[in-house]
Amino acid sequence: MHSTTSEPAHTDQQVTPLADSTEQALKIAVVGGFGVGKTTMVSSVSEIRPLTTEETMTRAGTGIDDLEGVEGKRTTTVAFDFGRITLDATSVLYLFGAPGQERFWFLWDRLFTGALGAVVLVDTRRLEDCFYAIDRLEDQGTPFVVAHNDFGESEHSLEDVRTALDLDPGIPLLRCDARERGSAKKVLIALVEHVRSLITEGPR
Amino acid sequence: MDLKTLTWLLEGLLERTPGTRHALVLSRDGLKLCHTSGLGNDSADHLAAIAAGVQSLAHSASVEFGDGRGGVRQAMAEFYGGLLFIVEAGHGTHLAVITNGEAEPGLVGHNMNELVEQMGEHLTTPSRAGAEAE
Repeated sequence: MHSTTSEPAHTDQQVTPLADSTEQALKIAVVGGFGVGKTTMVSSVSEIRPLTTEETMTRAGTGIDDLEGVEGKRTTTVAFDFGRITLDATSVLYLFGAPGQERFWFLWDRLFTGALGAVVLVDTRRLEDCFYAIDRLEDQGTPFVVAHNDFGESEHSLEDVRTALDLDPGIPLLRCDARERGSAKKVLIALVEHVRSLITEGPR
Repeated sequence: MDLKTLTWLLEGLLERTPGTRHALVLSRDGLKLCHTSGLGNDSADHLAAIAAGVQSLAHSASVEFGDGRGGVRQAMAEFYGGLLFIVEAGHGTHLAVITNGEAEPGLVGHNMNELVEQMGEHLTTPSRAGAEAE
């Protein structure tokens, strides 16, 4: 009945200790609208048991937390998700998943502090939900990539999504299945490469 | 749920507890259910979201560092000018209280827990249709 802090899928992963040789910690924020799959992504890609702050949705949220398109959703993040991936002997990536609803947006400032970049997850059934995230990242100049979480079943081409979002051509857009570790990993790699290209080529 | 009775009980808590400023009952997904009259609607929305987040993180702390019994007895934040107390208040809800700097933390906590017992089944926020029962 409380926050889900353990997932059976991670019992074999929570033994991964942080190597003593770690020198560099990089922070990535995962943002997007309500019910788009942010918690799922952090959980699927984390090598440690992820910290999640999911609470059962209550009837108090009827009419406020719109479930259209995500009718199967039962829980929602009320603080943030936290996961970790070791990149190599010296670098470790920390993932912070933001809560999606407007009433938790005040938390985003702290989550973005010190972040290398952000992943914006979009769901084409509720595309407009990610506008706030994209506007905010553009305003504050945080590098980001957009990942279309289609759970492996795409109805729209990436070009369609890019047009619908009116996304700058320089911003990477890719497809992903947030439930798949490999797929979520590719999104993070795309972000890291994007950040690197911004540094080496300079801001456009 | 009779919100009028609940609000009246919350006002009573403020009256008998020196230093308290606001009291609010929220659902655990961060929405206000009722609150005392001195708290504006916008502040109440904000406090409900804050309290839900704090309680959820406190729960994670209890899972990681507690003795295994689970659950959060009380979460507290002390800031310049006051304190924030949050306790679980029955299935799916929390009770949050804001005080000024002069409040006596022990008394506030005691009175809050007393009130929670009093409120009993007034304070249930059912899960949305199809969700698992408590």
